Amino acid sequence: MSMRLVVKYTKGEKVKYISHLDFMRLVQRALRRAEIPVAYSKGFNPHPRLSFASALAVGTTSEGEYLEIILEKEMEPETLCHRMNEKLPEGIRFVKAVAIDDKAPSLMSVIERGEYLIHISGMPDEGLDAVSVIEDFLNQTEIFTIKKTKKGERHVDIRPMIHSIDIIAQHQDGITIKALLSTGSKANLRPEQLIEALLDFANISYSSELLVQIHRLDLYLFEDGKWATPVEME
Amino acid sequence: MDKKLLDRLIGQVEKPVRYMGNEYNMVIKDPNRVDIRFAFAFPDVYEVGMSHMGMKILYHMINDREDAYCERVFAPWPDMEQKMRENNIPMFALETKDPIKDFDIIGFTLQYELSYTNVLNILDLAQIPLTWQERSNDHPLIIAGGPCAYNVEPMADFFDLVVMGEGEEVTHELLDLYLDCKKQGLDRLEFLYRAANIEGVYVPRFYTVEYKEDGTISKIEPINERVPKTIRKRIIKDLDKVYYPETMVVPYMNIVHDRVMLEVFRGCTRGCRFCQAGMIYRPVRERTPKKLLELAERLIKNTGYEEISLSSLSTGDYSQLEKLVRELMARFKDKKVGLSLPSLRLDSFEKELADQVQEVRKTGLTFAPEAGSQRLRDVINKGITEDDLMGSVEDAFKSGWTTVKLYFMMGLPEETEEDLKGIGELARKIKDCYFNTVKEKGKKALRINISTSSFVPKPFTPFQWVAQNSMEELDRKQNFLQKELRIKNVQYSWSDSRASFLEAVFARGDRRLGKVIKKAWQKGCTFDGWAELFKFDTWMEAFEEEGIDPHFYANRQREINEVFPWDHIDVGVTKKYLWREYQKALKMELTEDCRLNCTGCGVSLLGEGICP
Repeated sequence: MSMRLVVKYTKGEKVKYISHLDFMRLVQRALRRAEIPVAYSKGFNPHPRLSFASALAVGTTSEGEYLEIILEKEMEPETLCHRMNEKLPEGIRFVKAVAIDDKAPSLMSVIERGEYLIHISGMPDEGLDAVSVIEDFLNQTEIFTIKKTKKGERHVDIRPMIHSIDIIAQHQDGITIKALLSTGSKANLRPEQLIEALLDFANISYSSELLVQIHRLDLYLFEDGKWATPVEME
Repeated sequence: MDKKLLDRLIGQVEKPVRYMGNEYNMVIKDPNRVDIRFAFAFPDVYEVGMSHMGMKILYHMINDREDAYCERVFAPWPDMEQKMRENNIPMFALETKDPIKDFDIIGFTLQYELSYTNVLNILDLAQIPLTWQERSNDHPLIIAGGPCAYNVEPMADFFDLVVMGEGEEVTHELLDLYLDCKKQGLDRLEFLYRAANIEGVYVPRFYTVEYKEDGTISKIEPINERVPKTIRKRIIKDLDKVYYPETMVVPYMNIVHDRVMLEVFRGCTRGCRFCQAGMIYRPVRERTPKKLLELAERLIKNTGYEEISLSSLSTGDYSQLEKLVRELMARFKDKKVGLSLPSLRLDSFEKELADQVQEVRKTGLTFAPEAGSQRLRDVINKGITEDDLMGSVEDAFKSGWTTVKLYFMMGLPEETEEDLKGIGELARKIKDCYFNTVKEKGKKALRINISTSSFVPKPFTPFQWVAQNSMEELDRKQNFLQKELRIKNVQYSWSDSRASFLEAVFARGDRRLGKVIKKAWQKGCTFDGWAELFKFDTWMEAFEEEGIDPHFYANRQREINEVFPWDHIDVGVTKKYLWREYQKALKMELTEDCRLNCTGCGVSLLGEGICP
């Protein structure tokens, strides 16, 4: 009997520069090392049936990434995590796995929100009142940014894709915020775009001193009238 | 060193994983608990260096010693180099990110001549003086090995010692000696004298070179009696017993050879007269299928790779190839592990084998006729007939292959326009063969990829006496071939004649070239093997400024008795044999595969009973 699983995993500091494509290959190889009975696609060039909920930008760490996998044979979700954790590189951990229905829609199509921790340092010390800047920023009814596409530039209103911004800590030369943003196939706001708009709004120019570190906390979908992470699905 | 800053800089360059490390199976040790810190340096980018089998072997072998920690170093791409220089980040090792200037030994592998400036650049980035004359006892020992080490003369100023031949045994001997000298408090010079007496170790500073008025060498001599007159290469007698890693570092990014590499044998008995590897890696020594299957099992288990390749100079010649391939297919088919067979010589290619390989994964098919006519193939002793080639190609088409790659060399000795025309004729015949064989027109179109490289005469080959074609001549031939190969379904690619020229200069170069390499590097040359970074004009300025004529090295026909810069190196194959082969080439006489009959090359004298 085949089995479909959703896995929550982390991507830490030591592996943050791995690209999405390279990450997929890495997981495939770890699956072979761990001797997980993964199902393969039919056809000329069989590949393991594995898909990822949402691509993570190079340089971003995360404690809430998700992938789904189809196994040829049934296996205890805990066993899968345990065996994979023995064969994954340092910095990547399978945290939790749950079995889901074969007919459930793909993870990629149901994810709607992403929560991020964003640490900005190396900001010029100009007595900036971060609380009011963020308040004013959010009080705008629309926030237009320029999105570069293959066809040229496009103006996009990102305000509807920002659901909340909370200040977690303020430091001498920076700030740590938590942001809940639209993430997924319906609407997607990359945290980098948010930071660009926010710094622009606060009249802070980019310098080589300025350092932005982004960490994804989790991904959410909307189910039965409430927000839940993919491993909380029934 | 500011490792946080380094981490940040890595995020600002192209392909950051080149500098990130932390791959699966990377060896982690406490540097404070070892006696020797060793940096294995590959003077090219990560994705090239990580594909190199010698590094995989020596990396894990040295790390199996408790007293040593071997880390990896690759040449940073210019974007990273710039960041490092701007921020005063010294050259670091991938594992610990520690500066390699604090290491005991830095070992470079010299795989091709056009990586020489990268060696200098790595040393400079490491903040280590380039030449042995400028270095003191406190600097790391700078050593080298690899195929170009057999004529290391152009780089003689930059290395303390050079290892000739296969490294598995001699590396341990060197490390043991190094430790021993360290314990006894002996200085660098004394260590080098002792090292020079290990078979296979060459210390360039202990030999002097004298030149004649015409610029050729009059003699090469040891400076005193403490070192041997000739340096004999090292070979491993039993490949089943010698160290081979059961694990490999699994890179995150796509590298050039991204798979488990099983080395099935060393050496080659074919005797192609242009081929340096075929001469310097003699004799042939095979691993048994039993050993290879064991290694394959462990390597797949430990790496999770989806592909295995059988590697050697001529895998089709492996005496138990069929057995091995069948067994590998049987064991790995269900695990979806593919098998690729590179360097297949077409005369030993068997349709059935090709079909088997195809069962799991299908890759392009490559043939290397090397020359376009039978006459010229006889000159170079490439014992392949057109019938062999057409037979193999037909079989391949019958089995459903639609892409065929063909490699040729241009500028071979005795080459005429007819031989070049032969390449075009061959392409047309292959095309006809396809349309005669494949009756129903498939969805996939036929592709014949033809590529030519320019012939570079190499030391220790029968053509070591030969003048390379001038660059103008090579360009003329390429133009001619471009016209000849304007055929539908045929694509032609060729190599830069200027790069081949430089390769020829350094391949047979002597010590006087060291200052040119240094000059070219000072003027900004690095990554000379990369077309987009190759600065030919700068190189020519460097030759000019140092008053050295590069044509003397590349385009000059040598006399029978000329003393070569590498004459004090003994690779087993004798100069007499090579000359005899050269004369046979001129008469288009073939020399048979020495697995069938000893051809008297001299390598059997290296040790008892090592030739099969």
